Amino acid sequence: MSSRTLADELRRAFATLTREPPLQLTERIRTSLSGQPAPTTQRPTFAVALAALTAAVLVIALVAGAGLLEGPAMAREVDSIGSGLGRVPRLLSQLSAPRVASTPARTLPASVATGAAGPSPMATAAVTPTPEPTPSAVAPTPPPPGPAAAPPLRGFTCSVTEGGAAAPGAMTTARVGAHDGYDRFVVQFGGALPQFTVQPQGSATFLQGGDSVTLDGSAGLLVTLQNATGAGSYSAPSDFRPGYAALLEAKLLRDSDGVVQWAIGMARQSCYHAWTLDGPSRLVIDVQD
Amino acid sequence: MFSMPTDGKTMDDVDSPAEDLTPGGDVFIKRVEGLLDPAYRLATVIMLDYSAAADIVHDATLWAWTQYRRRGGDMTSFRTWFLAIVYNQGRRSRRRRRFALRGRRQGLARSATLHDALHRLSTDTRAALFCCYFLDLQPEEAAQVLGISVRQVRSRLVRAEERLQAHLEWDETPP
Repeated sequence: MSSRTLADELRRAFATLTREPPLQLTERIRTSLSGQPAPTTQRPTFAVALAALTAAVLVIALVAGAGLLEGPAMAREVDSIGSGLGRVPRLLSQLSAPRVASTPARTLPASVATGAAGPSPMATAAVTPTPEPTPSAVAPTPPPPGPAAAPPLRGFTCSVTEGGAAAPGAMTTARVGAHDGYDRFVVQFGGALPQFTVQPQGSATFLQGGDSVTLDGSAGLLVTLQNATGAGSYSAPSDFRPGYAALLEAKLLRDSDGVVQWAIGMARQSCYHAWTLDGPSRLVIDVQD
Repeated sequence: MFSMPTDGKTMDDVDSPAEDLTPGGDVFIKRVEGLLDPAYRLATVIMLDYSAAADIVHDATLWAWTQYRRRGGDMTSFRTWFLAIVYNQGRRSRRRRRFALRGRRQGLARSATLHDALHRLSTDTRAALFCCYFLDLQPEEAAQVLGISVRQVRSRLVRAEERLQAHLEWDETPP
């Protein structure tokens, strides 16, 4: 195997592994930068102001000590220095503006996620101009476990869902798609839709044949279909990695002993809506964006 | 392999010193937008997560903006400087997600594709491969982005290539 072939293979692999940035990323960056203060002349740093305050205190102390010996004239000097000292706290308050993470919550505002023009109120409120954001301040924090950060859309839930009939089902195909406000996973059956359970979990790690497998994302849904199989009938991929805003990956974990399991990797803990269609029988799972 | 700046400019033009720092940072934004594609792809290589990669690039851009203002837009190469910020931001974020990523590495079955083999590499090695093979950076430039010496870049590439070469040979063996 020549090194030139390896180079070509690597380029192809990276081209598959990565993709072009989403359009809303540019808008998001522009929105955030437009909220930053315009560059101005260098403002005194906090350390310099603190040093000035310390020096002023020392001077006051020295003068006050001398005033005890010098009398009223020196006391008037102490008063004038004290009035000047009163301006220092105002200077400090200008420099110590509260540091707020300059990134919004990991759940993108709907307007940004759907590429709507203009900043949304959420984006504007979440981005506060800071003089010196630190890497730790701007770094995103991992999503907390438990219920999703965004309130569920109507019909969406964050708990276990069950449904379907106690009839056998032959899985024929599956697909994923992105929609306005949610991403969709569909699994289709010939005949009736078998009994199913959709179980959310706080990580994207699942069990597959005794081993753990981690999907893209930081949260997951486990979809279990009883009395179902895709053997001889299923013809679609077993692993979808669309990298949508909410639905990052959908992987077929199991198709054996009459049990079919799909794992869905979500970008963050999100509520979902599991519902069914006929003609042909389909289980539809919409993951809230 | 990544999108070039529009309006006919070359990457050298992107690296040329800014002539003007407008209060709104238009010059800075244009320079960043010219590098958004490689930056986002680099972040994806680090995080293996599209959503996280977007966060990384966004956060890195804000941080870069504050540094850019302090330096008055004066840096030797805007491209390597900005990609280095993206890389560092990604590494910091990835360290916080180490537990979740450990599950990924342990859980992977024996890989049958180069794609999966790349997942198995360390973040630093994968990033080095990406910089040199996909972004076509010279080892000196990759060293600036990754914050390591040129010798370390070459060493990582050699080790990774040996592993991947063996993997490709196994992949091509008839069953």
